[in-house]
Formats: sequence, structure tokens, C-alpha cells
Amino acid sequence: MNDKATEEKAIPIPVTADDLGTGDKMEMDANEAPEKQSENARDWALLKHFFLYVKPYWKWILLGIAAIPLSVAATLLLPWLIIRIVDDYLVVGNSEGLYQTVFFLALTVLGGYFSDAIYTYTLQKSGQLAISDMRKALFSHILKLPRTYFDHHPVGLILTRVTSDMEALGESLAIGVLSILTDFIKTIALFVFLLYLSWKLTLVLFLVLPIIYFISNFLRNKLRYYYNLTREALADATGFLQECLSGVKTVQLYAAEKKVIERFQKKTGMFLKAQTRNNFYDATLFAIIEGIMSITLALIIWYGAQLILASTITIGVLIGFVNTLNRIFIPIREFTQQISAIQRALAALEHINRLFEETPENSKETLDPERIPHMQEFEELCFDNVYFRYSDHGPYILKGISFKLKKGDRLAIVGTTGSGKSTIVRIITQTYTNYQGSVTINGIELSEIPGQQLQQLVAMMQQDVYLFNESLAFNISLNRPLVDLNATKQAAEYVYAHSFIEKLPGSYEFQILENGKNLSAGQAQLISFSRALAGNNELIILDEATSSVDSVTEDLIQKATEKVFNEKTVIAIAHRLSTIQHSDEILVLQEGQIIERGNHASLMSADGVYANLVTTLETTEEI
Amino acid sequence: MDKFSFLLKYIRKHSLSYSAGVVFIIATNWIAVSIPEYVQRSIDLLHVGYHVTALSLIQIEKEVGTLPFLEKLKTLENQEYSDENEFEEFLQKTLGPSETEQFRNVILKHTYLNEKLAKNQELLIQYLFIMLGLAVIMMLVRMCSRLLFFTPGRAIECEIKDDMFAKLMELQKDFHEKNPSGTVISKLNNDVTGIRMLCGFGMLALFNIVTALSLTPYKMWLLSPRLTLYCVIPIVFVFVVVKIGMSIMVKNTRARMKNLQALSDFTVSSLSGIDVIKSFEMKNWVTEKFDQENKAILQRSLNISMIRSFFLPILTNLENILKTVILLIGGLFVIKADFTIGELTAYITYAGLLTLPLMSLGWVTTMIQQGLVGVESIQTIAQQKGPFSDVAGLPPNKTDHLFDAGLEVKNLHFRYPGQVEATLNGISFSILPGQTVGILGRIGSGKTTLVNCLNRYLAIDNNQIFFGDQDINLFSPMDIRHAIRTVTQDPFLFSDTVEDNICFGSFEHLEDFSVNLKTILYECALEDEIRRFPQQEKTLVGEKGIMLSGGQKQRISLARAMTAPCDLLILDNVLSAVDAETENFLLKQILRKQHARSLLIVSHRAKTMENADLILVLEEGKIVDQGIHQDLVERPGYYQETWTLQNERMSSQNSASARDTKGIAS
Repeated sequence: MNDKATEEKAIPIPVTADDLGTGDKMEMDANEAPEKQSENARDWALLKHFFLYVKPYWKWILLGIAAIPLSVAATLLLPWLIIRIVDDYLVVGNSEGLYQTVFFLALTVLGGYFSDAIYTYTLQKSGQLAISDMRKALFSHILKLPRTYFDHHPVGLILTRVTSDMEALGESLAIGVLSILTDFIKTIALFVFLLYLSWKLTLVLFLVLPIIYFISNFLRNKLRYYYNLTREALADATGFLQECLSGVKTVQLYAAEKKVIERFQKKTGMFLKAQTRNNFYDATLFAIIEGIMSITLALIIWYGAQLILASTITIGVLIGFVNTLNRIFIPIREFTQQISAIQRALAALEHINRLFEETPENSKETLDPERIPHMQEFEELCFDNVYFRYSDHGPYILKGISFKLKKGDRLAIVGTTGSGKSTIVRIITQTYTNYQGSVTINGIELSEIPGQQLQQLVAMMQQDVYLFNESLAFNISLNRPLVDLNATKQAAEYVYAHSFIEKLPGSYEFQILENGKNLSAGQAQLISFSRALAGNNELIILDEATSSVDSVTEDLIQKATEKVFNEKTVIAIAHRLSTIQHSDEILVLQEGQIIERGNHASLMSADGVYANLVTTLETTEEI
Repeated sequence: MDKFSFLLKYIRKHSLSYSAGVVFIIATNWIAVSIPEYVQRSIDLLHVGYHVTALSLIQIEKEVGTLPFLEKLKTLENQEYSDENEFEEFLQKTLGPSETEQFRNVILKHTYLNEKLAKNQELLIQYLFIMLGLAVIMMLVRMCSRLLFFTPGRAIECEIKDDMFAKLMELQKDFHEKNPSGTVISKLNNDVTGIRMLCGFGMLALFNIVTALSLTPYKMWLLSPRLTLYCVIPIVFVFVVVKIGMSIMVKNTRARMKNLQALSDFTVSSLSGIDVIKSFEMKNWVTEKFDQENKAILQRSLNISMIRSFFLPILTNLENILKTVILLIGGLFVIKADFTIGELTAYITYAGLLTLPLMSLGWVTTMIQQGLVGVESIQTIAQQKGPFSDVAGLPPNKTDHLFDAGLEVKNLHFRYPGQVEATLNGISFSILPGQTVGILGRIGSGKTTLVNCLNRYLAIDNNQIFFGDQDINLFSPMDIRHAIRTVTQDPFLFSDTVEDNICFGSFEHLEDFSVNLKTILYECALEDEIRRFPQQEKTLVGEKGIMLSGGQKQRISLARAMTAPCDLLILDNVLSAVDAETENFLLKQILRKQHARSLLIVSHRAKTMENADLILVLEEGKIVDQGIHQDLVERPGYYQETWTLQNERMSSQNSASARDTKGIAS
């Protein structure tokens, strides 16, 4: 168990069933239809934020909008030309003008196709460009968030914002939002056209359309309800699957296979049940609308027959009417679907916006120019009565920590897990920023020092080694401008990592996979060690690993640690006795306070907590 | 087992539903092509039988008005006739023979047309009712056909998931190490979704396409073979173009999925390395790297949009293209009177019926491909053979006696795959029922490996561990683990309540169980702490028990082991995170052996095994010393050293022990 995990536990997270499931619930709520005025205003604000990203691509949008009138014209011209063909040529038996009119018809089809294509492409393109920009902005915003944000929010949730929500935005934009505008205009235009042809026949449509709208609306509400149920059931089953896979050893050792299988079946059964319901309403919706369309067709032919008999309309008009029927029904049928697509887009936008609204940490970008000379060389680090907590209401993790470290000093911090050791070093590396009290380096307050500057003085060796899926050399140099290949190799040699690196295929160009899956734990630690030393910083922070490595590497790490102790200024979160004994001062931490301090000999003779810890160390070689 | 027989196994279970579905699909399509037939008849009635008849009638009425003998007829009106003969006589008298004949013809024609009109009106109403009836039937039949296909699709999804889950729980360490849980979950969600689509929507679409594409063209052919041939040209052309577009789109969608996967992998990996990124100021590099993937996704999205906007709409426009062709060619037929306007309308409607199945033909092949890829991927789990798949479980009465002769380890060697050095080198000892055995050793001496060999978590060679005289490899892991329970040093808790996590170990259901939960909580020194939890034993422990301290987790997993009696309870360094006082209490409870016949205690604290019947001292995979406490403490060696050191500490320690004070209650 490492410090990070235990310290996270100290955060008071509410422990009720409701709270643990909030992620999904929030999404569900956001899907509900916004009804109130204030919600409309909020939706508008969300869209305005999105428009900021769309704005640079206004030329594309203009082109798309220009295509709309053409597309509407084609939609109307098509049935009109068909009526003309039937009435003027077919009924009368005149083949002269038929070729010409059919040629116009072909042109109309072509024109309609192109204007539609241009409209959808340009708007999708501008949408995609905007989303891409937004994604980048969001990611860069996330990186600027304070470290505490990541303690509270699981990576999976943040990932959802960057991927799923962005995807949902793009998808619903492509299917719903774009077509609703043209569908609306086209439907209105078609209605006007039909009214012009025969207002009496159009009346039949007016009778049927509201019925279709209400039925599909009703069924879609049902569908949405069951859809949400299925999503919850799926999330539940997937969560359980994930847990059982991580805990498969426990399941097997307790011979609890049957038990978990039964529980999983119950969960997939729930999913199945909700899905089947969903299917039923889906099938009903589809069938009813098809049925109503056929009934309307019959109605129109019957009523049209009476009108033809009374010579009110021509036969061409009736045929034109029957042909246009589909075009009227489709947008009405899709209307609710498009509305929910827009709602999905808004929900996704809201999630994204909420993340955008998180305040980034206010780290300084540049240092006061007159202070730069003071920051060339490390001289002194000073903690003065430092308090720290993760949130404004949480318990204090550090309670009044004070110590001083001069160049060349070696400081060891010991204590049980969760005592606050890691928090101290994370404050020094500016991973945690909003501390109370004063931390100064060379007399300058830490919060005034920009990260770039700090990085030149301080380097840290992390105990959970994190490796990028890049070359080995990159993982040591970390793209730092001052660290070239030479410095990289020197650092590796310094910590005795060079010899094993040489043996790897491609040596320094060896590609690291999946956070160092293709290295041993000890090798990864040596790389992390090289990384800390490659910057040639004066102050080195060592967070010693508790996990055991093979004895050869262990020896190398010990040797390297000794060397660093002799040549640098060091703060060590120490687990090895040898490391502790070499330190000038030892701080014993308990529950965020320094309860004992002094060197090894004086603390041993005091026979307190430290002495007790050391005894355990001697027998088990770990704390 | 190949892909198809794997699928068939599941499909066969629902063959009834599928066959009914096929019948309903055929019915739906038959009705769908019948309705235009009545539309055609209605329009032809309207045009010829109705419209034309009505026109002729008006014509006749006009004709009657121009008859030369009209004046004469007027006199007829004023006469009274007793019967028809009298009228006939009078008519002959007034008009003369030729005019009478003329008059008769007009009257006959008029009556005929009037009758025809009435008959047509009746026929039209009849057609309309047939159309209405067909529409309602089609509505129901279509609904049933969808349900009959979708439901088995969903059921198959559920069945496959359940089967795979059961398989996953059976598979051992080597499989789970090679397959990260993310991949497995993605298989169970995405690949199974592909299979469901294949078994539900895909099957429906397939049968629908087959029936629709055979019935509709047949009807078109009946109306006009020549026109049908003309229609084939644009259909083939459009289909080829769209198919090409589809394949480009599928390629781009797949590539985009890969890019998106890369982007999420990168996001996860950089967010887990946020400490490094922050302390080494790597924000810009990481953002650039992120944007590379982001840009790749954008490019793919634009390609997809291009195809969506320019290629796929060609298919939706097929209906309009066909209309144009039909109106030109068919129109010429109508003018030549080879074709009626009603037939033309029906023909146009058929062309409209063609577009939907043609459209689905485009993606149904992709769907089937994806489904089969899903099957292949699922088979990588389904075809895994557990190391014990050929070992049958024991009958229930036998399992109780598995441990009757104790457990014997004979010259056990173990080497992890891929490692040169053996971790265990010739271990031999035995545990008899009722005994307590302790194992002491440094970190890395092989203690946990030994434990994992005993409970068969690791696969070992034959003839090394025995129940009595029977090789442990002869038994199924379920049976072994009923007899041997292990509490590991890295306990795994489910994000469930405390109670459920504890009852997880029992073989019974929760309801039958709650009676002795209190006792177990007391024995595991959890009673007080749990009382202080917000919702006591119903408190949720969070993911992997994140709400609990290490000590609390250890004790809950200990409690879990106590929920069902076993023959041998192995405690692998279980009490490392609790303070000495609690440890003493727990040891006392465990040594009462209420829950297990024998105990194996693994620790690096000598104190915990003071009263054991046998203590083994392990060093570098070998037993370097063994005996009981009294003997071992006398001899110089690791045991003695440890005992002395730890005992001194115990006595000097008064108050400030490293007690675990964290967790919910604090």
C-alpha cells in the first residue's frame, strides 16, 4: 500500500448509496426536458459557449446556409413537376413536352442532392472543427487543474468528458441538430405547397398529423424511460464485471464463483428485461406510424375521388399528393428524435462546461525579474507552520509543519502511511498549491515561483513510477530543454542504470509500453531515479518505494541512494534503514504533525516512536 | 468449434421465435406489395371507370338535350299511363320507328353508365376498406416480426454474457494476467453488442431484404417487364457507388475508433501520471501529443462527414432517380396506352418500397461482418480451457472428508514462468487435522508463493501436494477451496456494504445468515468500529474498500473467511496492519478454531506463531529450520533473532504504537 492511496482515503467522501451513483444520475437529470425559463437561459448560455468555438469557421456555415433555399426549392419543385407531367402529358396523351419536363425533373433531383450535400457537409465540418478545438482546449484546461481535483475525481470520469461527451456532442450534432432546421423549413414549405394544390385534401393531413405527433411523443417518452433503465442496468452489470475481474483471485479463493455468477445473471437479466420493454415500445412506435400512414393514404384517395368527381382537383394533383405524403411524415416522425438529440448535445455540453468552469490553479507564469538571480542556485528551503487540507471543509492533513533545510543537508521523513509524508513533498513540488503558512525557497515564497523556475532547482523521484509510452531516453529526459542525450546517459550511469539499458533492444531508444509493462519493477525504479537526477538539480526528493524488487537491483538502488546522499541536498521519504541512518535530521510524522525530530542516535536514545519503528525495520526491512 | 456453430448453438435455442418471425416478415412484405395494387385499381377506377364514366354521363345528358324530337317528348310527360304497353303504344305513335330506336339507345346508355358509376363507387369503397384492413394487419404483423427477431437477439446477448462471465470466473491467474480487465470488459460489452445486432437486427434485416427484394421486383415485373429492366440500370449503378462509399466509411470509422482509443489511452495514461507532468512542467508537450491524436480523429471525422454528405444520400435519392426514369419511360407507355396511370402510380410506389431494403443491404453486410468479428473475439474467451476443465467436482458428501487425512507437501518445487530461479526449493511438511502450523520468513522468502501453491491458485506439477494419499491436482479448485480457505495479505473488497462483503464468503444466502454476523464481527474486533460507521454494517465501503483503512480491510476479509467452516484456514500475513493489542485479541479468537479444523499462519512476526504445533522458518524458498517455539527459541538462527528483537520492542512499547486509527470512524 502506498502513501497516495491511503492519503486519498482521508478525504471525507459521503458514503451513501445515492452519492456513489451520482455520475450516472446527473446525466439522467440532464436528459430531462428543460421546461423552465431559467433552464432555457442556461441552455442558451451553453450554446453560446459552444458558438465561441464555431465562430472561426463562420465561412463554412455561411456556405451551408446559402444552400438551404436551393434545397427547399428542389423539394417543392419535385412534386409540382410530377403533377405537371401527369396532368399535362400523360392524361392528355401529349408526348411532345414530356422529354423537356422530365429533363427538368432530373435537374431538380440533381440540384436537390447537391444543395443537401453541401449543407450537411459544411455544417458538419464546422461542427467537427469546433469540437476538435474544444477538445484540445478542454484537455489543456484539465492539465491546469489543481492536483486535489484529481484526488476527488476518478480518471474514468474525466475521460468521459474528453471522449464520450465530445462524441455525443458530435453525433447528435450530425444527426439531430443539423437536420431539424432544414426539416422544419421544408415541412412548412411543403404544407404551403399542399394548401395551394388543394386546401381540402390538406385538411385530411391536418387531422392525422397531430395524432402521429402525440402518439410518437408518448411512445418516445416511454422509450426514453426504458432507455435510461437499460443504461443504468448496463452500467451496473459492467461495474460488477469490472470488480469481479479485479477481484477474481478473491472470488476463486473463497470458492464464490457460483455466488458472483448468480449475481451477474441477475444484473444481465435486469438489462434484458429493460431492453425487451424498450424493444416492445420501439416496435409499437414503428408499426403504429406505418399503419397511420397507410390509413391516411386510403383517406386521401377516398376524399380525393370525391373531389375529382366534383372536378375540384385533377388526377395529377391526387397523385402528387400521395407522393408527397412521405416527405411530410418523416420530419414529424423524427421531430421528437431530433429534440432528444439536441437534449443529448446539451447534456454533453453541460458536462463539458462544468469541467471548464473548474478553476485552474493560479501558478505564476513568470518570476519577478529582480528575483531571478536568487533562483540560480538552491540555498535554503524553509517550512514555517504549514497547514494543508484538500478542500475547504476537510480535515487538515498537515498541522503546523516547520523545518529548515540548507544546501547539502539531508532530511529524512518517516511515519506511518497517511501521516502526511507525501503531502509535504507534493507541496514542495507544487503538486499541491493552496497550503496555509509559509514555504520559502531561497527566501522567496513558493507560490510566487513559477513551475519552470522551480523545476531547475528541485527534482523528485516518485515511488509509483510513471512511464510514458515513449522511448527510454525520453522517459529520463522528459523533454526538458537542458537535458540532452549526453545528460540522459550520464544520469543513467550515475544510478547504475546504464548497464541494463545497454542490454535492451535499441538501448536508449527502447520503446516503453503500457507504463513500463516491458520492464521489471526494479528497472522502472532505476529509470525514475535517473529521471530525477538528469536535470542536475541541487535538491533531490526521494520517495522510496516500499515494493520489493530483486536483490541485484535493490543493491544498485541502495548504492545510488548513498551516492546521492553524499553529493546532493536530499529530502527522503525513507523506508530503508540505511537511508534514514545517513540523514542529518529525521522528522517523525504522525497524523500531520512532527512528533519527534533529531538524528538517528538521539532519537534512538529517546526510545520513542522512532525507536519503535526502527525495531520493526530491523526485523522485516520495511515499515 | 467455428464461428458459425458457436452462433448456431445460441440461435437454435430460439429457433421457434425466429421461424415465426420469418413467417411474419413474409406476411408483412406480402401486404406491403398488395396495398399499391389496390391503390392502382382505385386510381384506374377513378381515371377510367369513374372519371371517364362520369364524363360520358354528362355528355349523354347534353346529347339528350339536343335530340330533335325533344318537343314531341314533352307531350309524353303530360299523359297518364295505366301500364307499359300503353306507354309503348303512345311512344310509337308520337315518334315513329327510327326516332323511337334512337331514343331507346340513349336511355339504355344512360342507365348503363349510371349503373356503372354506382358499381364503381361501390368498388372504390370496397378497395379503400381492403386497403385500410391490410394497413391495420400490416401494422400488427410488422410489430410482431420485429419483436420476434429482437427479443431472441437480446436474449442471446444476455446468455453469452452470462456464459462468458462464468467462464471468466473459472479461468485462472495466467489468463487474467495476460488479459487486462479493460480488454475483457470491452469484449463483453462491445463485441457482444455486435453479436446481438447480428442475431437481432441483422437477422431481421437479412430476411426482410430477401423477401422484399424478391416480392417487389416480381410485382414490378408483372406490371411491366420492360420498365423493370430500365429500372435495374440506376439501381445497380447507385448500389455500386454506395457500396464503395460504405466500405470507405467503414474503413474510416474503424480507423477513427482506433484513434479515439489511442486518445483515451493517452488521456488515462497522462492523467495517471499527472504528478510527473506537473512536477516536470510537461503540460505543453502532453497537450501537443494529445492534439496529434485529436487532429487524427478530426481528419477521420471529416472523411466520414464527406461520405455521409456526398455518397450515402445518393441512396436516399434513388427513389427520385427511379421516379424520373419511370415517369419518362412509363409516361411514354401511358401515352401509347400500354400502361394506365394507376399502374404507373403503383409502379412508382413499388420503386419507393425498393429503396429501404436496398439501403439496409448496404449496412447489413457490415453488420454481419462485425458480428462475426465479435464472435471471433468472444471465442478467445469461450475457447479458453481452464486447467481443471477436465476435473469433475466431487459429490457433496465426499468433499467433507477431503482433509480427513490432512495435507501433505512432499518436496515441492515451484518456479514462476519466465523466471530462471526457482522460488520454492524442495519444501516438505504436513498439516494434520486440528494442528496449527506457522511459517516465518523475510519478505521474498517464498511464503506467499507457498500459500498460493497450497490453495492451488498457482498451477503445480503432479505428485507434490497431497490430501492423504491423493494428489491435489486430482481435485477441482472449487472442492479444494471449500476445504482450504485463504485470507490474503491484499484483501479485495467489493464496492458494496460491509455486511455483503463479509457474507460474500458464506455459501448461503444473506437472509439465512444474519444470525451469527454479530459473533463474527466481535471475533474480528470489528464490532465497535462498525457501530461508529454512518450506516453500521450497511455502510458502503467504496470502490476496492477505499473508505476503509488497511487494518479494517484485513479484518473484514478475515471475517469473510469465518462465515463458512473450512478444514484449513490459511492466514497470509493478515494482521500486518493492526496494532499489537488487536492482534493478540484476534489471534486468541482464531486459535479457538471455531471456524476451521487446522490453521496455517504466515507472518514475519514470531509472536503470532508462538503456540503453533509446528513452525517452519523459510529462507530463499527453502525450509531452513523447523520445530516448536520452545526448541526454536533456544537455537541461534533467524527465529531466535526475530523473537528477541520483537519481544524487546513489545516490552518497551507502551503507548505510542503504530495503531491504525484511520478510516471512516476517525
